[in-house]
Amino acid sequence: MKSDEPAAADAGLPAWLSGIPDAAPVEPVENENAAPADDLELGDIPSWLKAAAPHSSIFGETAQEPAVEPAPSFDAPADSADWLNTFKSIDTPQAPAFAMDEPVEAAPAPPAFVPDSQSGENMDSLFTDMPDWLSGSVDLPAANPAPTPMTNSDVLAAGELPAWVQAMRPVDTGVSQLSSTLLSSDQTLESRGALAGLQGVLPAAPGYAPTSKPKAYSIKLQASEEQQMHAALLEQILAAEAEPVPIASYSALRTSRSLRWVIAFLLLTIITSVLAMRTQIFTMPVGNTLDINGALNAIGSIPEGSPVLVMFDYEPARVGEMEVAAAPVFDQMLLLRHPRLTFISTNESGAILAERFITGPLAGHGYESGIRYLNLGYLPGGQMGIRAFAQNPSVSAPYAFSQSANLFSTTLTPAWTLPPLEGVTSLSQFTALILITDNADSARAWIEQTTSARGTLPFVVISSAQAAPMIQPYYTSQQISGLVSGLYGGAVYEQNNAGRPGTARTYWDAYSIGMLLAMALILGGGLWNLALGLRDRAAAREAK
Amino acid sequence: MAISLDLITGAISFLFTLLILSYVIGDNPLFKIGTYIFVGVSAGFIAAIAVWQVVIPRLVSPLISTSVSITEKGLLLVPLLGALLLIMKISPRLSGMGRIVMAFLTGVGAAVTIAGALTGTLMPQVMGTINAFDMAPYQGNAGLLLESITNGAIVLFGTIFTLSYFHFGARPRADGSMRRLGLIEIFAWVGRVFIGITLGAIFAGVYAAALTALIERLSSLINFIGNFL
Repeated sequence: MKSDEPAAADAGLPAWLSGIPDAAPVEPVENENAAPADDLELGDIPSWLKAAAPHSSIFGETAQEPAVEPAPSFDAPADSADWLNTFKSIDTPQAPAFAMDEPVEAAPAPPAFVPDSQSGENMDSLFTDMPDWLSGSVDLPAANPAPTPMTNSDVLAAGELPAWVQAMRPVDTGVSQLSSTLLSSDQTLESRGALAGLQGVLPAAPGYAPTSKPKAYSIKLQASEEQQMHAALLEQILAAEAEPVPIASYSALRTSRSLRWVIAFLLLTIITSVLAMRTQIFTMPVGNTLDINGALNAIGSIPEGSPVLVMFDYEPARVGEMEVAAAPVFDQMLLLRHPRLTFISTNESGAILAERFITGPLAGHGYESGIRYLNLGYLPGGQMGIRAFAQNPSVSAPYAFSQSANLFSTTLTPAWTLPPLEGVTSLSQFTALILITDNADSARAWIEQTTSARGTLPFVVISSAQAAPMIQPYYTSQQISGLVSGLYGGAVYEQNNAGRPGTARTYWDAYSIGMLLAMALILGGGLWNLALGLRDRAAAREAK
Repeated sequence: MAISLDLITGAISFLFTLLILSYVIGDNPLFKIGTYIFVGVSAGFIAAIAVWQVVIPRLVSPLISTSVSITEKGLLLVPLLGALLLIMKISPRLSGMGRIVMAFLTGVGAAVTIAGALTGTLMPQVMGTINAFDMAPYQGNAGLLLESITNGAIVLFGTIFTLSYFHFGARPRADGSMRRLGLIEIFAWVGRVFIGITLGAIFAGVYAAALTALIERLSSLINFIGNFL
């Protein structure tokens, strides 16, 4: 008997369970009501649960073939527990799960969930109202205090699931693919819940891995000839949408490297030739414009030896144009009015540009730093700095621009006690403001932020030709007294400088030829483009 | 033979002018060398200016000076703290600390700009357009009076037509298209003419400025070479 039991049990075990080693020695149970082998396997499971035992394991392996028996009726028998009557299986009838020597007496398959039985009340009663046989086993003390040793057959019996539990588990598509070897390694014994005592029932997620090679599917599109034709048509439509549509009505000359080289060659050659030959073919501009007249009047109204504030706000790249425009203005002013100049700049390089200007084009006047002129240097803060300077200049720019020979000298020179600023404590105490700029925004900032502080002071702007169109309205509205812009303005002003020679005259011929060349190129290019357009239209008309 | 400073500066100027003018043949290593050196020198110069003309005279020297009162030194701690907070912007983790200073700068800058634009540009320009029709200064001189009225009219209508061009309010038509009012459409068309003239004037100014710069550079090249001939 002892030696036969494992064999009998193994015969009824699925393969995955047969591999489980015996955890405890199998001891024969000394019981008068010794059950047959199958009964031993089922252990303490009540009869209704024995009958409900599945005939196959949850892993798809078929259990021992049961004896042929008629399928039990789904009607709960009269002797079954009442609480079980609420669970009626909707599954197809199943044969008794276990092959027993003695057929189980009319044990119906445990009912699976039916829609009506899933109410909360029934579910509560399922887990709170225990059946009599279970409550009795809990309440009554055991007759035999010695624990019944667990055998392999016990484990197997605990691992078997009733059909109603099986009905609750997910569809076993994935589980069925697990190898028995993998699952048999899952020796976890459920300790809680409805599955307490079952071993290896649910596969652990980390261990889930298909061992069989996935079926290979062909990636070739299974499409009929008609479908492929439709797809090709759709592809053509989409490709046509993505193509750029040419603008038929617009054709223009395109810049090319050769055209650029030709223009550059023309400009460089002609201008260099004119400058090298120092020609004076073109006459200087005659007649003053209103804005230059305004500048002349403003400069002429400056009292002798009075303080004048000069703002240098241009980039070093524009130094050629700005010095040509500003030199005749300052030359005339220094010659006739001998003002005390004060330089300031909102541009970082403005301070050294001011030094270059006073020691370059105006070197002949002999102005010395700290005596006849003073450089306040860089004024930080942009528009806020300009406004602060307009309101309180001695606080905003207290020191003179350092020109110490010692590179690391930190000695600061208070500016407002030096001769050029003698008697000046506010912006309105200057006799004139002169702004030299290549930027319309800079001009706008100085005009806007000093409006209230400067009052009726003469304000002259010397600007680059590129900024002049945007500064012109300020002259029209009489916010500035005069405007001298670009080489043209410098040339006009030079005509009013008592015939003193200036740089404008040197540049004037090259400038005039350069302007004529640009006009010729633009006009010629436009006419050429017009001719091309007319030719294309004529060709299109002929084609029609 | 002593080499004068003018000769050195002239040679450097000559060399870098050629490097930059080499862009005529397209982007090339010579042009890149010139621009890279220019950018580096400019950045270094600006940094030096910021240190020697802003940080040291306006912050460091007053703080270490014995002649400055404690109150003034305390006030100087405000910009010092602001500068330190701004420096935090270079760290992604601490950049949030610079927001207060940026908010202050933005707010003050916007206020100054808007106030300046209102008082220094908008109102004076409106008044200037109105005053263009002031006849009082030209009484007795029919020619100047006519010129003044013509100029005023051109400025006035040019402003109106140009503003009309930027009026994009439209109404749906029966065919589903959106069109501006007929009068606005006419004004906008005329406004385009004024805008075209303005852009033409700006282009001419830009070309004139660039041409003058080219002339100045070529003249310096010729003068430099002429010194050796």
